[in-house]
Amino acid sequence: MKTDAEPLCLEADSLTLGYPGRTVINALSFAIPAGQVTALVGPNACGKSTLLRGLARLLPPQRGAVLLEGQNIHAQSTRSVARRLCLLPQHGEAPEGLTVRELAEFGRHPHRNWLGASTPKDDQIVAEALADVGLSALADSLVEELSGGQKQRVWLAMALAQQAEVLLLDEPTTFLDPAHQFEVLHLIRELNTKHGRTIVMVLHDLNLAARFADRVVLMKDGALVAHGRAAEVLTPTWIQTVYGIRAEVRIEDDGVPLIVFRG
Amino acid sequence: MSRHPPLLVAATILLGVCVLGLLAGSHWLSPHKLWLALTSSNPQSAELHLLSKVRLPRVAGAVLIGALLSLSGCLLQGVTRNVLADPGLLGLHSGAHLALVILLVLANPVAAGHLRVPVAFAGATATAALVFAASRNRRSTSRDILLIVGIAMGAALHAVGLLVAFSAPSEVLARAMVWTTGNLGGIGGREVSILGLALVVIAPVAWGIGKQMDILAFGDDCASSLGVSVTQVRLLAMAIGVLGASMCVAVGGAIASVGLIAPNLARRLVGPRSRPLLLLSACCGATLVVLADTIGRTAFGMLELPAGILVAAVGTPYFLWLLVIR
Repeated sequence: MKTDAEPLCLEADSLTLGYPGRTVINALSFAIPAGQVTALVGPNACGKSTLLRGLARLLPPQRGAVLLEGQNIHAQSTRSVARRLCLLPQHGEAPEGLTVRELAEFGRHPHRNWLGASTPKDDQIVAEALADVGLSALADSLVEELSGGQKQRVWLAMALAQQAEVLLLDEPTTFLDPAHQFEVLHLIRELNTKHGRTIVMVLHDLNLAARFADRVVLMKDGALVAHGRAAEVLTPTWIQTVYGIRAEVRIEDDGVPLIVFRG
Repeated sequence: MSRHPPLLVAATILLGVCVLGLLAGSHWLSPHKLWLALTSSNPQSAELHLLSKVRLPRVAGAVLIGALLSLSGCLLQGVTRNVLADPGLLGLHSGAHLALVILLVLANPVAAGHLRVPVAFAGATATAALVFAASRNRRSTSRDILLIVGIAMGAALHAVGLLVAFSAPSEVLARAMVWTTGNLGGIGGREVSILGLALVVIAPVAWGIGKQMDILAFGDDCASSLGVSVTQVRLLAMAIGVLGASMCVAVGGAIASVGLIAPNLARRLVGPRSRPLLLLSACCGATLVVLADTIGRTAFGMLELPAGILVAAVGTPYFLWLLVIR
């Protein structure tokens, strides 16, 4: 593993996660560098989503700890963590009858007092978030009337309005066609380059991970197998080890690996 | 702000229905007489007595019961994320019925009359606590487990209640029936103040956790990630929901499905956000119960139909319609 001098924002320290009677992740240690896009990849049931929930303080560790900016995340309040770290679950579910703006506004919740009154600053932040995801024109439309790609962009606007430095995304491209997968990932990449957000996302598609992430974390059976730049991690040997299938890897002109599975 | 008109309209209708409730009865008052009675300097008039001792507490009780049941319905629907949830599905009515039957068997009629409200309240809240305890032990992640356990518990307690009532002297069954069919005839100043106190405690808390309840609708993980303490908010919402509904069941008996009808009607008009929804639901629920009670005691001549039966007559078809449409 590389030992970069980059600042670390989120660390797992011999983290053991699981559910009653079942351990999913065993004594895993790794650090997520600040200001980068990290993709968690691996076969189904390898513990990617469990790890993401653990990192987001949604699952208490059985042993070990998660450190956010060097401090144990479970020693901090839900609200305090929510101002710095945001998780978007795989399926964002919104009740019917909410408009795009109303949904995005909920991102301001951790910054408000208990009455939850909205200030002009909140309104401005929400408007900017909607502009960033290209939904300003649809601000007053109902969320349920939007397409799948647009819905995902509303949730991203909510996450943006939350102004957390760290964004954890669980399969942000599920149920999207290839064009919309690209659109959403371009947007996520932009949140990183333009707003400097640290992003950790679970992805299934290795080619998308290779194209859109700075670093790739390859997992199998709850353990970290390889960790580093896409070209270092997504090699035929590692893919064979983790997925048990043969793959060819070509390095494209722009330096991005292209993986073709041969079964 | 474009969402305020429904609330203004609903509040106006509620006011109108309340005036109708004060005027209507075996002895109809004219609006002019109502005005005179309310402004009269002579408190001895028979009509003022009728108003202040009989009709006013009854209409006020109906307003409070309708509002409390609707708030309770909103809270429960929010917590279970199931718009078909109703406080009655937690087995409150059966618990209150069983407690009353046991009371009637054990105590003499006069003592039983005095203890009626606290005992029914205890039966209802104990049942809800039992339902929560039983559904917490389940590993199931289904949000509906609470309602399924509640329905089962309700059926079981209802059977036990009937069993005890049938094996007791015949008047026990009859009195328990009268006490539990949603009759508002017995409401006086004392009951109104109990219900009023419940509303004064519950409504601000429900309003206060409104934003958190909205966020709970996005799922536990998302809510937690937005800074909501999911478990605390959910427990608080259930606790005040159960207290409010139990109070209504104890005072007014089973007025089923107000907590289902009013929030769903309101949701269609103002959307899913909790705060406008709570206000409008309370108005709709209050209107429904006042109207049902007024019709029940005037439209059928000498026969006085309990409000619970009239609400159920409207509520059941509405429930079926919701199930079929959704």
